[in-house]
Amino acid sequence: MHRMLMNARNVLVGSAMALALGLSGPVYSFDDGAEVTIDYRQGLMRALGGNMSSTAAIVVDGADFRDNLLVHTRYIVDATRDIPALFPEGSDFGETDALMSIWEDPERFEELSRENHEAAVALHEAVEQGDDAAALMPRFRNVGESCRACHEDFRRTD
Amino acid sequence: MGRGRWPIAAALLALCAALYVGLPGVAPSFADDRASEPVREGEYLLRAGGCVSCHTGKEDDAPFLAGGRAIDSPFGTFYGPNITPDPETGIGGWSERDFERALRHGRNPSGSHYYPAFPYTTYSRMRSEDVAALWAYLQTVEPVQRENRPHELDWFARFRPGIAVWKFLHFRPEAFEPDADADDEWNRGAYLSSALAHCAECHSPRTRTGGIKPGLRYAGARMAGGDIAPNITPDRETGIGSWSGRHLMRYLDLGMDPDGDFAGSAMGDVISEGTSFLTDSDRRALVVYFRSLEPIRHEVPPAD
Repeated sequence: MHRMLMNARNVLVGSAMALALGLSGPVYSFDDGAEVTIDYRQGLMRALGGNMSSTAAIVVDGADFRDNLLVHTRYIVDATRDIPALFPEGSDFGETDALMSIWEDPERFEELSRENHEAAVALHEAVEQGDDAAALMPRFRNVGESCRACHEDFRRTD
Repeated sequence: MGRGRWPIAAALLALCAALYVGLPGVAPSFADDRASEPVREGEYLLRAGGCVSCHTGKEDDAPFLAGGRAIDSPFGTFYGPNITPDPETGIGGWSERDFERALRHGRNPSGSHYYPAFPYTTYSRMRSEDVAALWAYLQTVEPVQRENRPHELDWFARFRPGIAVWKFLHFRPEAFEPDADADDEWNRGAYLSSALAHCAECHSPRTRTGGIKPGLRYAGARMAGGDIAPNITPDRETGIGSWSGRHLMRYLDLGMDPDGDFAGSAMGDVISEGTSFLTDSDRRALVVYFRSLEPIRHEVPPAD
């Protein structure tokens, strides 16, 4: 036990020193901040797709998981809260389908992202108040249309 | 005119406008029961034919069917023309016969050839009653005065008589012949795809002279802008063979694929302006048709 505490203390002291010396970042030295951002946003977009897919299975096709719907729509709300933040300048390289128009027309990108989030909020609120599938369908459609509207202008099809 | 007369003038103008377009003055829509049957059918066919995405600008406030949309091609950029009934800049001076000739033979009223970016290769198969309905609907569209933007083409494509050669090589006007051995749903899907929605135009690879490669219709191609129009034959590896009918229906309606991802770019347009307006039964017919095709194993080659 004492040995574990000592080890923990050593880790703490080491970390504090590393922080103090400005060595708290990853150990590798090349700058891959933008690459990590691309990884993160692609994961988030895949997760959004997964939650949209599950939502469609429940709302459109009647899969018997109505109780899980809140989990999915809450994620869609949270993940779409600030989409432009996922696309900082300089994150347009490598395996990305992001089009340059994101950075050339940021106002339009922000507008479409906001509409997407608002549609997600409207769907989530309807789920919260217990609306049935027929009432949820147009709201789900709105979310889908807002995803598509943004992809039409800002994503490559490849 | 004195200041006090403005409200009277405005009221008269409003009355004239209302009488002109038919009280209370709205363009016919799917919900408009007052529109005649051919007009409503024509509006539907406009969506089924995928006309809107080329003939309406991309901007939010772009006037409907007044042209201006850029269409990339290996020969340069085409701009969809104004097809509102404006007499000077649209098709207001056309006769129904001119319209039919454009759709069926790819010629404008003065007789010169259209570039095949206008898919008359597909529209030539439209039934006469559908051409008439589309014409009837276009007469009801708000006329918009907007000059057509000239195409920006490579030098070798600017020579319009060259299109006659292209047509000789690749265009055979022909009527749609239903398959007597197939059911109505399949035939409807075949008609929608090969006479209206012109899916093959983007989803098929082309020869050097711009014809669809024999044996590879619907097998996927890379488009001029770099995007892929995927293989839509039911091959499991390279086509849509692993998609269920439900997924395909949903894709044509909402643009959502089985992973929950949403279509963008050109297909996003096709869905937003076209297939999302179709009835479920027409979307089902298209799906039935595509799933019945011979699977073609064909991977779209990477971009140059």
